[in-house]
Amino acid sequence: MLGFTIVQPGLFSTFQDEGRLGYQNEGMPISGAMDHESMIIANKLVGKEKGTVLEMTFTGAEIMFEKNMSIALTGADMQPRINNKQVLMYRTLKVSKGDRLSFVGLKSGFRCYVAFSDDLLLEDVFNSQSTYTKIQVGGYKGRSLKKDDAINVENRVFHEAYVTSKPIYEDVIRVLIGYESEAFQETSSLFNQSFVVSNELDRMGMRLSGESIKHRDGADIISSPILPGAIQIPSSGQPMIMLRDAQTIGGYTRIGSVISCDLNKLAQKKPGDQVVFKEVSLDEAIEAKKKWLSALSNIHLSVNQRQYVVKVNGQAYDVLVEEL
Amino acid sequence: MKIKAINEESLMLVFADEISEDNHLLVKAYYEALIEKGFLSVVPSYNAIMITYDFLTMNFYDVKAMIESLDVMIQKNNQKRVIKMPVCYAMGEDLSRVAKHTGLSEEEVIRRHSGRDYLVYMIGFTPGFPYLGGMDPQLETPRLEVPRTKIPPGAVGIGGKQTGIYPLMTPGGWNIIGRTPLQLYDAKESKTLLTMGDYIRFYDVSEENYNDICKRIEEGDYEIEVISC
Repeated sequence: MLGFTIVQPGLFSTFQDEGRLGYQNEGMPISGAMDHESMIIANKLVGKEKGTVLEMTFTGAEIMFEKNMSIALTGADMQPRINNKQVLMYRTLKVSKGDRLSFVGLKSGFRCYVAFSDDLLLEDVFNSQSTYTKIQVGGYKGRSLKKDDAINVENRVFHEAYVTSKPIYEDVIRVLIGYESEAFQETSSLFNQSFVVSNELDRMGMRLSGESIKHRDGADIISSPILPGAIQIPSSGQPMIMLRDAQTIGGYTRIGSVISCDLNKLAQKKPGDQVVFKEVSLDEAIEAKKKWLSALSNIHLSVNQRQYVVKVNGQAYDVLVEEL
Repeated sequence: MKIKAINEESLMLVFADEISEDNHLLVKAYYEALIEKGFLSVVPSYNAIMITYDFLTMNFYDVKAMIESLDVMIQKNNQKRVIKMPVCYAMGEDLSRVAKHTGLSEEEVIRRHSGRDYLVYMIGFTPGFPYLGGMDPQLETPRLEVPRTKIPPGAVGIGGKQTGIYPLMTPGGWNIIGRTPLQLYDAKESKTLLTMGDYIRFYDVSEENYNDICKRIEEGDYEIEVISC
């Protein structure tokens, strides 16, 4: 049955899930939500362990609901509205047939996520609904959304209403030195400066600008496997971080890898933002991931809470009221 | 062989820094042993293998020790899996360019291109795209100065010293010398045709034959010819 239609698609909106790990030997990138954390929290708020979410980049979409369901918004704050009334992120929102979700504009972050209580009926390729636009697979017709796209859903009954809050982290990107790190004069040049996110940024990679990182002999290697998070340094010396749609094989030297939980933080960086790297050991990286996973599984979902927006001197504040 | 930690849940085996059949056989032997071990992902290349494991049940040091203790046998005289790949060379719009550049006749280009087995070193770049080795050096032709924005699936091309097949409609700068009706990548069925270590043997078919095979593939009535030798 028809779930919702796209009134305006936004700059680049695609459906994503956890991705398709395990087919890189066939040349298929992993893909999946750029910010897994936001996806996981949004899904929890609509009662799902896993599910496909809508990922919107830089500008939000305008969506018209064709049936009743629950949704949740996480990630970048694009100032969401339902029927032109401000709504809050990080909570379950009930929407009815005819309701319109829209966004005023980006306030913080880069990518906003919408999870739906209903199951989305989308193209499943290599075990995933994630859209990989480069070869037009997955999601809705393998592409970013356009005006008038109509998304079918399968009804799933969900009555709860949850509230949670956005986790806050230190704004530093942790890196495990590895790959061809011996190809560089010194790895410290990655850590003793801050980089700026350039305009060359998409789901496949993020080019940074800063003082160039110098190779010993050259920037080319025999093409070999590469994973999201890899920090490629081509001959220009400017780092290129591979993201979720990274191709499976790469031909440039790599100095190391961003640890996987910090890839989610990178997903919220936009052109002009600063990136500061910090070196961690393998044991520290594993510890960080365990901590992140346990924080996510213990995320506090409150029921029976009401959230209000209170305006004081024109400034909006979120207020949470719990029934005791 | 070196084993490097890549991230919390991945490591990479790196072999000698060269593209060679010997190195390939070593990678293949390890790859075949490793895909049996229940990892989340195992990705081979010319001289490396990337492994992703479940970090909650396995750790780098244990996986590394397990790999180092593997008794891997390189089987040089093993049976080759050769996929016979029909190619309609008449559909190659750059066949005349390759003939002109190499100084060979078009018939001779076809004869040399189809007259040997090509080794699939690895799959990558796009789903199902084989990195092939073994082209006749005489056929070397520079890439097009201006890449085409759309190359149809199944296009067989020559780019510099390399030859390959485009599995999908993508942009590309190689000289297109023919087209195969076989599907190297099938999104509907979520599968790819080739695996690292396979060999490809091209053979020339007419346009009529090409169309007939296309039709039979669509009807599920075509069997790809695979020979073991």
